[in-house]
Amino acid sequence: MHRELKTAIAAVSVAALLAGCAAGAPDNGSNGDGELASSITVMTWGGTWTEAEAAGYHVPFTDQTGIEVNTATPMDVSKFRIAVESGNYEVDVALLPPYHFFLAKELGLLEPIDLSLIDTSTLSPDLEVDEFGVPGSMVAQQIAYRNDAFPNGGPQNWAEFWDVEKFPGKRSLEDSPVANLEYALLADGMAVSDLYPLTPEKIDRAFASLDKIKPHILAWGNNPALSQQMITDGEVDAMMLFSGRASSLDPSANVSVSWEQANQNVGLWAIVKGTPRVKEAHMLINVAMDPENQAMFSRTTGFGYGTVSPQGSDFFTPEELEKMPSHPENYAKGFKVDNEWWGKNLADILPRWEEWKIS
Amino acid sequence: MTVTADAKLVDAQAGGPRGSARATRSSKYAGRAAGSYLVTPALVFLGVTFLFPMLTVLWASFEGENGFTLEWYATALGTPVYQRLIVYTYVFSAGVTLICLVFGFLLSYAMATFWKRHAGAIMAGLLLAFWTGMLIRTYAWMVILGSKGIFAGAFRAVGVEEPPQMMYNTFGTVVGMANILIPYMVLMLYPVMNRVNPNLMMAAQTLGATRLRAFWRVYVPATIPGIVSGCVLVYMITLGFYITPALLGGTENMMISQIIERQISTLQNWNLAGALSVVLMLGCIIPLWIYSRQLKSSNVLGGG
Repeated sequence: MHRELKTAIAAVSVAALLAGCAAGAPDNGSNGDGELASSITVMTWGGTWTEAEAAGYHVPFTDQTGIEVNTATPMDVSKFRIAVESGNYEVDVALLPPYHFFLAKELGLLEPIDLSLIDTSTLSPDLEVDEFGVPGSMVAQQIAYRNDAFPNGGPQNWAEFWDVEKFPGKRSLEDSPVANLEYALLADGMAVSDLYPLTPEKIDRAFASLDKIKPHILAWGNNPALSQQMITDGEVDAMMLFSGRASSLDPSANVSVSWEQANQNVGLWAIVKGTPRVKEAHMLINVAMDPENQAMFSRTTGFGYGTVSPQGSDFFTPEELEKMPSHPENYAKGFKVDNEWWGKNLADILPRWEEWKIS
Repeated sequence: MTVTADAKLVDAQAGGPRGSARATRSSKYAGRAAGSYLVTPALVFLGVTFLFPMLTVLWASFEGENGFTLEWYATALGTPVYQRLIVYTYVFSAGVTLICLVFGFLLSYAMATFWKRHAGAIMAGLLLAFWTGMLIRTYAWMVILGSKGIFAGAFRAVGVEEPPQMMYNTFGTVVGMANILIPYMVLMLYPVMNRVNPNLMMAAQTLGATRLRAFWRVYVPATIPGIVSGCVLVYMITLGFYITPALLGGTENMMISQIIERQISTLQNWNLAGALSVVLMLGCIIPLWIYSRQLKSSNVLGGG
């Protein structure tokens, strides 16, 4: 009797555990008859970025459609990949940085965009709409430096960043060959128009150029939030900083930025392939095309992010516009790293980068 | 097991009068055997959440475009930079383990002997450290060791213009990791030390040994079970450390865990990440083997 009871308890608990595992996500998707889902999940970075996304896009979207927006952090292509491979769609849509976008596109993780559902007329003619993505954000990777370290002005372009005699001090760059190879070539005297395509000779030249700055790099940044800390605390005197981070720095940090030769990163909205909420995702992207919403997004980030629509500029004062990457003057001084090329080639270059870093 | 089997034999030989006792004993066996079924939910849980993902990683490390392949292991073990990093990971982890051993041993010894009154409070303090997340503590160290931190301020206060670089290098990494790992070491060492008979040291001294000699020849050997289990535990944890070397370390402190993360996240090459993870895991097998050898012989040492 004892034994049978214990066996029964064991069997029931195992069954309950397995049933719990198999329960799966609650049903939430567009039905055939056109009924909309009750919620949609957006993949996002977290922190100020997510606050800005919510203010600019999620809240207006929910107001217009009544669909709740959930967020999933952090931004990682793995989330898209797991969703597609397992069929369990924990994320539906994301505003991907360019490298992530081209990687996801390479791996076949994205849903083709149905342009009949999205009004792209407001977009700047300079920006291309991809088969799998719609331009949604603009941020610049720029040089930032401490004013107290350089009372006579800091490095304005990459050649000056490399010049440790004229501008002595500790540096930091992002821990990735993406964009850094380009900066190294620009520092070495190459013109922006000659950068692409990146041939093996150019890559060798870039690494040789990087050798010159390497002893002065204190840390290779791999965490954008910490990068803000590095320059405010004075760990480094000059670094590559995202404009979104630079603009949200406290004025007491006494940091200046340069727009010359800045890398203008255009992020794209993309939808996970095969998500049941594809229609709702398109609706969200459509809301994001509204210049007023883009202006709200940019405002909440402290103007470090630009608007992909020229009409977005109407919502800012001239002083505010000067801080934005999409300001025509700032935009003209920068260039665009070929993230599509990197999406295909990073796997080959990364071991060389790691080797170079630790040697 | 042997003792109870003998008892059963005695019962059988004794026959009738002990029949009822035998019945009780066999139902005790039955109870124990059936009771073990209750572990099944836990085993299923472990199987699903632990064993299954590990087997998936193992599978992925052998999976290529055309089925079974060893190309990922060839890449993992053949690329010079990965070889260097794997070796560095093992060696650096061993170094950190040694440092934790020295400091952990000193602290445990203090708690077991001259700070015995405060041992409870010290232990509470160490356990409190476990309640704080690893990430928060690493960030805290970044504030303390930074160029605007307490130590830098102390250096400037005594007139040193440029305080030494305490972060983004080996020093910062070791400090951050040791801070997190020493409680583990103490948790392994202190119970063993507590059980060492203090009279042993006195006996050795009455037999003519100096205090130092008594310490080395009598006390330390008695604590070896604790030392081994502490070192094994700390070494295995250190091998897989990601956050602290990534945040507090410089380029010379890169460990293989950072490469694995890159492969998974930035490059989406889960096969290579799997192969590298398996290679890292193999580094745990030797300490585990040492540990199991020591466990078997611990009966001889009589305790711990």
